[in-house]
Amino acid sequence: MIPVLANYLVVGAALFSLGAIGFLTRRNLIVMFLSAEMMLQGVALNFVAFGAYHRNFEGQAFTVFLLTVAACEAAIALALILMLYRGRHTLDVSAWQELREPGQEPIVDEEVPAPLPPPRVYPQLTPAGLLPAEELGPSAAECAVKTPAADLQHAFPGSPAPAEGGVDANP
Amino acid sequence: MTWLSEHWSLVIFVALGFAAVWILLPQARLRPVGAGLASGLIALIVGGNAFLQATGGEWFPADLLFYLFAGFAVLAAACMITHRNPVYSALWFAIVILSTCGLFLLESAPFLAAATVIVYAGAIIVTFLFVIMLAQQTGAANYDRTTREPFLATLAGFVLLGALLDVLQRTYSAPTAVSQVAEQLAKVNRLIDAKANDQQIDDAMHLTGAAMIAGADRSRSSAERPAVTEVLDAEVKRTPDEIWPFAKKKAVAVQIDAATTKWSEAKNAPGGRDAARMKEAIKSLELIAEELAHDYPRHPSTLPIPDQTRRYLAKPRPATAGPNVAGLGRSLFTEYLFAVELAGTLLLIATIGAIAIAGRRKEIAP
Repeated sequence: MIPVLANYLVVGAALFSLGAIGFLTRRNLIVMFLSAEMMLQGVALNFVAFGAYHRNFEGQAFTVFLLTVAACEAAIALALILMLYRGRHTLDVSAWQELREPGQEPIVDEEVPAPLPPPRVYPQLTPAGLLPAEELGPSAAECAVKTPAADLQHAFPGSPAPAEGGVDANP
Repeated sequence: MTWLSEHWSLVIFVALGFAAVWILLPQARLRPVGAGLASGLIALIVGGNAFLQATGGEWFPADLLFYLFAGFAVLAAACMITHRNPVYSALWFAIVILSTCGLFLLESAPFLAAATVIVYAGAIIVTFLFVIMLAQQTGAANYDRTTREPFLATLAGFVLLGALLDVLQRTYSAPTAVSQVAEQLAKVNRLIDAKANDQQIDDAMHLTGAAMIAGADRSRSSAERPAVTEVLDAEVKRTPDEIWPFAKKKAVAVQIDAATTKWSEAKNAPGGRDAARMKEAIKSLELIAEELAHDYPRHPSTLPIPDQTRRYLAKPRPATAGPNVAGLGRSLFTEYLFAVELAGTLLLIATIGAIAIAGRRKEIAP
């Protein structure tokens, strides 16, 4: 059964145009870049479809290069996004409007979205339990644990009997 | 107005898709989300109906998988560009990648499917999520809840999509050569029954379809247009070996030859035209055309292969059959070796560049 070429090209075209719309519309740098990657994915689908149609590996070989270039682009773009974030502390691309072409009006938000309700603050319980000791913390004697040495003697024959008190006297 | 009535499905698809994406894009004012979703689903169904072609008579499981993967890819793409939370956008993008990988698998590219999942969904999306986490704002930021020029951008995108789909429809739904042959043979049958003269029948035995011969018109004499038998012969030769093995193609070619001889004998019979034998010849040609159309349903009609391409195809080329990874590796390291080396260099430069860009400004003395 041969896959029908036109169907895959239709899906590739849809992915490409949706990616273009996302890139032009969204203001978050990350989402803009994801949309660009989606455009590349649509193109990759086209290449693989044509490769399968002509029954050779040229389409797939070029898709490998596409993948490589996409990875390089992701690395550099994310480094740039981090640098831009360090500059303005926002991922908004509209924060960099001074880079627009001369003679072009800046884009101003006409409709500002309504402010979100403040995040809910949940009540905090007062911590319960014993207060910690003030100066040095608990002393060695208070830390001492009563070891059930007699009980364990039969379980570990040959092991040296633990010292009385259970804790090494050396600090 | 006639354009509109001819392309109504395209216009409805573009309009509904535009409405859906425009409504669903995050904008300041309240919008009817339910209407947007409904419009999007209807657009998907109308578009799929109008622009996806059937794959031939039988319903294969691969068809179901194709519709599943393609539907998920387009839906996830729309969700990705319209969701407010960038983390959710990254996750929807992961679903787009997985669907595209499914489509790669259907196109016999398993290595590419695996490589895309590893590189995109594994490396690139995870890196994106790290950057989102590093560059977080408290609460939903304003810039995630508004968009720049949603109306114009969506309009431009969907006009582009409409143009692409229209071109694809024109190119790949053109009447195939075999269907034109069948049509012409039926016409010849009718002319024989109507006792037309020799000139008309000769005319009908040569193809005139505009899709068949670019730029030709009826004024060209029948001597310049390809004969039906020639075209059928060429189409049989073009059928891939997986569908009709070489032995079958030879047998069919012999049948076409026999039918052609019978036709010319019957036409030029000394005692006048032998209509019965002519119709027999036409019938056998019709059967061949029908069988070919059934077994190899869709292929765009093409002009005869130019000599240069024919010589290129006849040269012995490295075998491309075999396991996908082996064949792809052979292709990459023999035909595209220089490109592979360049890609490696590009990766190295990108690594150095990323480190240089995102490194600390001031050196901290060790």
